[in-house]
Parts: sequence; C-alpha cells; structure tokens
Amino acid sequence: MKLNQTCNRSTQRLSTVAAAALLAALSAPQAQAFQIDTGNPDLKLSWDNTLKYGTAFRLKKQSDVLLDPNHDDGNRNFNRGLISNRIDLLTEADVQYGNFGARVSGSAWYDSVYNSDTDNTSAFTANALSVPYNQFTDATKKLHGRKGELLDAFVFGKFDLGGSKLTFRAGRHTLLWGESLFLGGNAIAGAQAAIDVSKALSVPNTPFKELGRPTNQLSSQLQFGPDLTIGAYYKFKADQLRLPGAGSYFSDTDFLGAGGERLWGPGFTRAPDIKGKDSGEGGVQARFHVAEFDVGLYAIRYHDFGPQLYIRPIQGQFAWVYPTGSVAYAASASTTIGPVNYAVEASVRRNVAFNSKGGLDFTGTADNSGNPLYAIGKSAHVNFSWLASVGQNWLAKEADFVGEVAWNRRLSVDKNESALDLISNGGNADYMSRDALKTRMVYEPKYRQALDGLDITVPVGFGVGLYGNSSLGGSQRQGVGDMSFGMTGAYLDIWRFSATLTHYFGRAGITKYDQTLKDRDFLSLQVRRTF
Amino acid sequence: MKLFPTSLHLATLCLVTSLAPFAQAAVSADEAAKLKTELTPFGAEKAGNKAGTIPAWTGGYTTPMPGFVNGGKRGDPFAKEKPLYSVTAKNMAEHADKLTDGLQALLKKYPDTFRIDVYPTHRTAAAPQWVYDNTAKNATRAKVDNDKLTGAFGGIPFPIPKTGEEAMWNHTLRWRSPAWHVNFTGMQVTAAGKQVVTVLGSGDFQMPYYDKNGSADKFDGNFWNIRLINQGPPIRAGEGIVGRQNVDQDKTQVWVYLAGQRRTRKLPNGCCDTPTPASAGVSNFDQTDVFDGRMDRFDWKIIGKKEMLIPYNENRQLQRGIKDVLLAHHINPDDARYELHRVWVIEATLKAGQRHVQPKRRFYLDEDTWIAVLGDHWDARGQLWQMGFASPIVMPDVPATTSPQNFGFYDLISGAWYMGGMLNDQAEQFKASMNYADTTFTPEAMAGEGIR
Repeated sequence: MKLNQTCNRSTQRLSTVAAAALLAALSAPQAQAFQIDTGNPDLKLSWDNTLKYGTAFRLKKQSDVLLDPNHDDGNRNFNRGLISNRIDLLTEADVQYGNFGARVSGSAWYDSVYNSDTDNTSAFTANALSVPYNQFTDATKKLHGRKGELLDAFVFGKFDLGGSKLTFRAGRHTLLWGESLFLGGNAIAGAQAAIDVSKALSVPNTPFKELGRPTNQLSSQLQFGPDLTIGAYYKFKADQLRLPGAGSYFSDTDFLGAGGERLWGPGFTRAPDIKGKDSGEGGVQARFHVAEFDVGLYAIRYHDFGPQLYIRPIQGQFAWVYPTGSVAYAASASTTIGPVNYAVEASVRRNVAFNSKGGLDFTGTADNSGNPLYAIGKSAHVNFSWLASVGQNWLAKEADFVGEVAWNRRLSVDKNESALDLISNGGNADYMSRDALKTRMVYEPKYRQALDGLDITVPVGFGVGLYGNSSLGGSQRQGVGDMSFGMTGAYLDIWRFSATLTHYFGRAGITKYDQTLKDRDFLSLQVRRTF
Repeated sequence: MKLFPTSLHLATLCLVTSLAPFAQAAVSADEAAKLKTELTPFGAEKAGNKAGTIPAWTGGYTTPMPGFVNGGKRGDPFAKEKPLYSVTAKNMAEHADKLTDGLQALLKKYPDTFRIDVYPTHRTAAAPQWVYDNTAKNATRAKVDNDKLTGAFGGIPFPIPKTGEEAMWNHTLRWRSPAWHVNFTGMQVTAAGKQVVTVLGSGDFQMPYYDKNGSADKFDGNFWNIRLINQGPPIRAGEGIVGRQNVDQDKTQVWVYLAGQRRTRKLPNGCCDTPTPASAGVSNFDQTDVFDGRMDRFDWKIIGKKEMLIPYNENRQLQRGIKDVLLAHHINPDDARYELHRVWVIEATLKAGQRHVQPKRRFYLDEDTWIAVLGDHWDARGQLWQMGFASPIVMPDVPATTSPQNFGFYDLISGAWYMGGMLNDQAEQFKASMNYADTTFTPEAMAGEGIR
C-alpha cells in the first residue's frame, strides 16, 4: 500500500501548469473585444467569443514501472495515439457605464475521447467503482468531456475621493498579487487563487484568464497618489485546485480528483472531501515606488488549495483534506535594467501544511483545523524571476527569454512532526528535504512575416527540480522535469495555431519524488479564432 | 506567447551602455537673442525663401476652425485648396533635389499608384507664449551629456542646435500639448497588400515636461507618460500598458497589465533595432514616431538645412475612413498633402564597435515644429531599406502643428508597411489639454481598474 506517496500530488502539477501559466501571464488573450456601438460614448458594451479546436496524441507506450494499481488508470486508459479531440468555446461580455460596470464570462467544451470507452484492459487494477474498468467515471467524463461553466461574474467601479482613488470588484473574479510568473505555487499568488490544472494540461497554452479559478470575493484598492496604494480582498468561498479527473490522461493518482472513487490495497472508498470554510480568507497589500523599484508588502490568510490524505481503516474509507488557516507575510521588488526586468518575492508563512504521510484516522474525527493529522509548521519562500527582451542575434531578430527560480525551506514543524513524509515508501532512501530549489524558463524566438501575413514563434520551455525534494507542494525532485518544443503561428492576427511536443524526463516512478508522467510524452495541436 | 503585447510608442525605451561622455554646451545669450529677431521662437528662419514658394512665418495658424469641438473630429482648414503640381514617377527627375531617397524609391516602386500632390506651403506651427518663453530659456541652459539631457524644460530644448543629437532631442521633446487622449487604430499591411489591425487602442498621454506650472528645477526627467488600453485586435484585447519615459533613458519605466490576473508587471525596456510588437514587427523600437529612443549607438551629424517636399498640414488624411486612405502598398495619394518646407537634414552613422541593422540613417526635421517628418534607413550593404514618415496635423485650438502618434513606415525592399495611430474612424480626433490625475499613469491604477 502506498498511502504516503499520494499526498499533495496536486501542487507538483504546478510545474507543468507553469508552462501554460507563463504563456498566459505574458500572453495577450485571444479574444477580440467586439465593441457594440451604443450611440452613447459613456456606455461601452463588448461581447466576443473564442472558438478553439485541439487534438493531442500520446507518443510512448505504457511503462511497466508506471502501472501500479493505484497509479495506472490514467496510463492504461490511453494507448499510443489520440488522447484528446476537443472543442472549446469562451464567451465574454463587458458593460461599462461611466465609472461602473459588470463583466460575465463562461466557457464550455466537448472532447470526444472522454465520451467514448477507454483503452483499459486491466479489470483488476481499475479504481472506479461506479463504472466498468473500460469506462470513464461520470465525474471524469463531465470534467474532461462535456462541461460548461461560469467564469467571471462581477461588478466593478471607481470613486474619486479628492486626491485619492478607490476601486472595487465584487463577485466572481480572479485576483493575483506579487511578481511571480511560472512558479506561483511558491509565491503570493499561490495563496490567492486555485488554478485549473486540468484545463492547463488538456489545452496547452490556455490563457491564464481561463486558468486562475475565479471565486466569489470582494476586492478593493485605495490609491493615495502615484507612489502609494493600499489593497485588500476578502473571499466568500474556499477553493480547491481543479485536478485532472481520475483516469484522465494526465492523472497519475487513481483516487484523487474528480472521479477518484477507490483506493486499492484495502479497497477503501472515498469519503466526502474535507474542505476549508467559506470564510477566513483574505489579504492586504501595500504597493509603492522607490526610485525605479516597484515594492510590495503583503499579508494573506488562506486555506490550502491542495489536499492531504486521511485514511479511516475502521470505516474502510479515505478522504482528501484541505488544510486551513495558513498565514503568509511577503515582500516583493521589481526593477528593469535595460532589456531585462528582474523581480524577487519572499515570504514567511505559518500554519502551513507540509507534505505528510497519509494520516491514519481511526476514529474519523480528524479534521482540517483543530485536529489535523498532517504536519504543520513555518516555512520560508523566495521566487526570483526575469523577463528579457533579446535583441537581434544569429538566431532571430527578436526573442523573449523568461524564467523563474523558486526556493523554499521548512523552518520548523510545530505540530505532528511524526507525520512528515521524511522517508518515502519502501526505504527508497528518498528524503523530503528541508530546502528545495527549482526552475522553469522559456526561450521564444520570433519570426515575423515568415510568410505573407504569417508570424511564427518557436518557444522552447524547460522546467526542472534543481535541488532537494520540497517539503511543500511546489517543488520537484532534483532532476525531474519536462521540456517542450513548440511552434505557434498567427495568420493576419486572426487565426492562431500551435503545435507543441512535451517530453517528461527524470527517473520514472510513482512516488512524488519520481517522474510519474515519464511515459506520457505527447504532441498537441491547436487552432483558434475569435468571432 | 507574446511577451510585450502592447508596447506601442513606449516601446521606444531603450537602454544600452553609453560610451560617449562629452557634454554639449548651450548657445550664448547673444545667439539666443536671435529667437526674437530673425528666427522664430522655436529657432526656424522667420523669412520665406527667395523663390516665394515658402512664405515667412507670421505666428502660425491659430484661427479657430469653424464647428470644431475639442474631443470631436478635426476638419481640414485647407480642404478647398488644389495641388500646385503632382510629382510622379515620370516627372520625378525635375524635383529630385526636393525629394528624399525614400520618396524617390516609392515613386519608382509604385509608378502606377503612388504620386505626391504638392499644395501651397502654410507655416502653421504655433505654440503658447509660455512655451516660447521656456524655449528661449532652454537655449542657454540645456545640455546633452552622455546621452542624458539636462537643463531643459517646457519648450524646445535646443532651438539653435549645434549637433545632430541636439536636433534629435528637439524632435523627441517637440511641442504637442500638455496632455491628450486618442482612440486609434494601428494597421499593418503585408507585402501582398493584406491589411491587419495590429491595435485598437484608447490612449492617454501626458507630457510633464510641458506642465505650464512646472519648472526646470522641479522637473524629475519623466517627460512623457502614456497609458494605453487595448480593445483589440484579438491578440491584444483587455491588455494595457503604462509607461513613463525619462530624459535619462535608464530611468524609463513601462508596465504591462496581465489580463485575467488583475495585476501588472514591469517590462524590459525594448530598444533600438528590436522589432516592436505594436507594429507586428514591421518597424523597430527606435523607428516609432520616425525616431524615438536612445541615440548612443550612432554619431549624429547636421548635414544642413534644405527645402524639401514633406507631408504637412495633413488634416486631409483624417477626413475619410481607413479603408479609403490605405491602399495596398501605400497611403492613398488623394488623401495625402505634401508641402515645400525647410528641413534640418540629420545623418546618423553607426559608431565603431556598435551594432544596429540600420548602420546609416537620415532624418528630415521640419524647421518650424522639429517633427522628424521623414526618415530613411539603409542596411549593412548600403541598400536603402526602410522609410518612416509622420503626418503633421494643424490644431489651432492647442495651438500646435503636430503628429498625434500618426506615423508610418514603408519597407522599401519587402513592400510591407505599417501605419500607426490612425484616428480616421474615430468620432474623437486628438482631444487636447486634458487634466489627468497624478495617479493615472501608474501601474496600480491600471491594475485597480482592469476589467479583463
């Protein structure tokens, strides 16, 4: 039984997600705001729709190392060949009258692959209870195969208060602070919003505006002048990462995420997740300028977006538990020196949950606040990132080089130290370390007008754990990572397409110190346009 | 991934280590006194030419245009005039001494569609008295040292320039208005003649350098503030950018709004011969507004003053829609207005040890406004490659004759071209002299007000 391998897999995903987040972070969104002429210059209306078609192919066959009964469904469900055949619609509408307005957006998708049977032939290792071994659970089918959802739905406005200015947003929206680019899980942004891991993996290069999960909150800022701004938000809803559904292509843990129903070994079934309360999450920030530096100070209280595992042997159940009540204090600074922008962010946190062995809950009374089974303590985090505009060289007339390095340290364990996942399963001599360091970067040369009306870019991305096995969700094992080779095109700035080859490297295995997707290299193709 | 989606004019900002540390001296008080006699307050020759084809400057065009409302369309005060003559591929030899190399190349490349309609010359350039007063003060106090400008404020910095670099600073700090707003379209046209909207933007601009209540002592060097919010095209909707350009380019700052995250991030300062995303890569950062940005890769030389045919008083070009004004390979000659004016000819030659894809460039600066109206660029093989142009507009309400971001760019080899800052399809064409709150041009304001 490999209970202790499973926790917090979610945040490891951030590495892959980072690729998408990066694109998104710096990428202009694809939608053309279709301005509706209202005849009144104070009333602005826009509505636009972006249609995407994407398909993806698995390039390698299943590796025997990655066919553990609790970590094989996503692997066995897809033979080499087609893994996604998906159409996506994003619709957005904004209305603004004077200083006030509202925005609504939503998306819907259909993927024929998830509306068919799987390739799984292994009846005795399938974890699903509700359907036969060769079918996706309804939850996975819905999440990946046919779903529509509301994204943004909020009102906004601004007031001029003499020399200062107050702005607010109320309703479903995403709000991120700080300077992080890729490795937001280790940064302030990672304490503010859950992300759609599933979509990021399924639709490469999804703009971030579709990845950051909007949530019900009130956010506001008061700007006292050009050099000092105070901001605050309060959330009305606890959020969880949207993980790949159990049995979907990028799922490496068969009892985690939507459709995760059963844990093999004991054959335990899934109890309802223990989520955070819809209260107690919010933050304040101060932003100011010192010479050519942007400086920020932040304090945030939040509930963890990634889960820990509890096992209830008496009840024959397991549960995913979202720790609550973490507090982060952070500072950031950013400046530009010539063609490069540099930014650094640092935080110390208390009441954070460390990667823990699955907690054994004999009485069924453990929870995510007063009586946790996972290790809790203090941590320190630093992110350093850069954006570089690369001028003319032998490779291309222009290129972007963007990257980030993230470090974290387990400062102290204040509770349940014995739960720390210090030695991984089977005496593999894999230690969760006190310090961990990882990086991700993308180099993207650009070729404008490669053909008449056609601009091409060739992004090459790379992410890897540099040192240690993180005590917190965000870092990988040393030497485990992925790289991607892409080509994107824009025709007349209307049609966009991309082709991306993603390769996973590092030691294959099913623990969180391994590369669980080692046999999952894939090629994805996508085309989109806005109407 | 598009890293710097909206950089527009801002994009001008560049940083390269500077190597030429010698200070330029200001002119003497005696010489500066000419600004009140034989020179205009901006340093042009007041008198007309002997041939009578260039009239004397008599204070510029400050007559209000009938029906004009600030924030509305700008009419053409010279709409009824007819061309004096047209220059075509056939008769260009007769006018060759008045034509830039770039215009000659266009005439030869598109003999059937391109021509130059020459209208009577009107020396419309004007500015408020306080701008003239500041210009007179700048004449004796402004200096360029190591590519950094000091001692200038609220007027043309070097009305009597002694070096090419000083003349180019006059262009950079030309009088436009203390602040203005434009909604505009940027259009790229491919070599095959396909039109691509590269930006549909709403822009707010402020020149703290031209703050009537400011002074040289209090001026912190941020001469140009910009805020652009993009409504389109597909690639740029919802994006925004805020920038502050400094006379010390090392202190220039630009931030981009990150859609979906409601935060901003400071950007690298794009520079020199890196293509600007705003022009879809057709033009480079330092070709924005014909020329903008760092000068320290080049030696700048004043070749002299010359009478040349240049785009001028181009209100004509604002009147019809974009689809009428843009032809497949160039602006519709029916919508263009050229006049004979005296221009400063400034030549830039790449310094030894420096790199730039255009090692030789020649700029033509209108003597009355200091706008670099035309610019020719040669490639490393000495072949004429590209040509930039501005379209100065008469705005008696400001008063000014200036180019409100409407500049363009022809690639004479590939045939692709770009026209930025087009106001044609807008109900509002350069709303001038706004009052912006001092928080407007900050990344925090952009983050707080961001919708997408």
